Amino acid sequence: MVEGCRAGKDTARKELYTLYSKQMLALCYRYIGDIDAAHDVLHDGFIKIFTHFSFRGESSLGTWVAKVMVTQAIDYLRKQKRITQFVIQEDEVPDVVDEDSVAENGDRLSEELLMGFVAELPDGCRTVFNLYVFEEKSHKEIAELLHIKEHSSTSQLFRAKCLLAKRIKEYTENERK
Amino acid sequence: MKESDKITGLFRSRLADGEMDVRDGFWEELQKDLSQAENHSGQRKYFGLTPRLFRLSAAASVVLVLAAASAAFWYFSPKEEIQKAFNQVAALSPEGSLNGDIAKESFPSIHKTDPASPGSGIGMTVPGAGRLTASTTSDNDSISVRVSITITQRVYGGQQHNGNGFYGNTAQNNNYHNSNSQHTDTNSDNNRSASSATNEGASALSKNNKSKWALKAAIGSSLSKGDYKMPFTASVSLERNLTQKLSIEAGIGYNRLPGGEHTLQTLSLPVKLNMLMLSSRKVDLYAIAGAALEKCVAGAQDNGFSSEPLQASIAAGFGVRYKMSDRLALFAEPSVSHHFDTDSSTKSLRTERPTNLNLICGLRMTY
Repeated sequence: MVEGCRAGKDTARKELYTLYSKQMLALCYRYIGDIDAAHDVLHDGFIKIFTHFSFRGESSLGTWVAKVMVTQAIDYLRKQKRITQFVIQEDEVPDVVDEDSVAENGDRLSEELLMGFVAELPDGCRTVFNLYVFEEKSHKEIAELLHIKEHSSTSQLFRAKCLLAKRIKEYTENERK
Repeated sequence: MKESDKITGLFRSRLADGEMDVRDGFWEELQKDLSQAENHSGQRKYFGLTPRLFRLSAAASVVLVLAAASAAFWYFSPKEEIQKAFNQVAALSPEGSLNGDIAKESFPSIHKTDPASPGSGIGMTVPGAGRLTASTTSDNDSISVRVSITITQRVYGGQQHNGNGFYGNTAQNNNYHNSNSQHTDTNSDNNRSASSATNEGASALSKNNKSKWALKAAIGSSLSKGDYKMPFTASVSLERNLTQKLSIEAGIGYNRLPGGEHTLQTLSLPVKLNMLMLSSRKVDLYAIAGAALEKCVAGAQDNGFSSEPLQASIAAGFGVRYKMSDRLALFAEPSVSHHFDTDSSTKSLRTERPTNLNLICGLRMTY
């Protein structure tokens, strides 16, 4: 498949697309928070992958494809100037809730709901949350990547966690009622 | 933070391998756009130029052709005839007519009357010159009001003679002017200042004439934007005078564009036309128009021509030159440049702020 993609063969491309498109759409949605824009980013990401197939085998193909998509998503957010709106409402950190019960309750919720909560996060802290949790980047790496200060990456992550916890708590409380 | 790790753990475990259904027709659309993108890049590879770059190269060629035409005109034109024509034009204008011709004739006459000057090279002007000088003085005496016109024409006259092999006699020329100013001192104050201005003008022009080539070394920067910090530019270029006012400059520049995900390093080949607007003994002011081709050589994911194509730019600005000595000058050149978009996916200051303000400062050595 890799050789086929490098040679620009349609069958190999279709194979790669079928293998990764669903997972990559979820990734794009997780970063962008909007399904139409996520499709656009997925489209541009695949165009980039197929026209400049620079996979050298340093990592697994899936990791490489995901990396291209993450770059594409961050580029998109940067172009939309969404990431620069980081510091907005910095002081508005929600109250810390009981993490244990939230995690337990959250585990009972569907993936769609959890995904929706991530998508609802403000752009800045959603990006930091994604990079920290799913790409497993350190705050230092995130700060370099997004051109922000390391401590603002830390505070954005904290804020994301608090907002998500609050959202799960609200949802489960509403469900009980 | 231990507790809150449970939340990240929850999302990581549930969403890391999450999948979503792609909307219908997405693959077909992607396939169509992919073939279009490939056709486009295929055509580009075939021609080697994007349409935009092509248009720009055409514009750059026009500038080069104009520059070459000016150079050719300067080299192949019959200079004596042009000078003659110039004098005739001067003769046609009622005010400057007599003074123009006389200023031209009066310089050789000094060499003739100066005992220290070499005998060769002045033979042609010997016979009638003395007589004309006599008329000069008398005419200057009678029409001392029209000083400003006399200045301009004397400058050209002096320059012409310098060009004909009288470099060594600058001091004598100066002596002449000094004595002349003393002589006409009685006329008016205006006339005296005119003579000294002529001295300066003539010596500045003789310097220009002597040094046709200049080597320029400069460093500079441009405005930053957002995440993209101020770039660093270093360049070396060679400048050649095409005419007294027009010069062409070409060189090589190194640019470092920090910011974004990478720090890009590029090499550029700028070509500029400089037009002297104002010139004094110490300071020159000139206008600049130019174009450059830039290529990313390091810093991008792929530095090849396919993903980082040549980037064209145009620039216009002005320069100020402070002449420290006959050979050395300091210069500063503020300019506005526009970098044309390429198909490169790498973001840089060039893509974030295509039209930018630049400033380069450096040293210019004439030889």
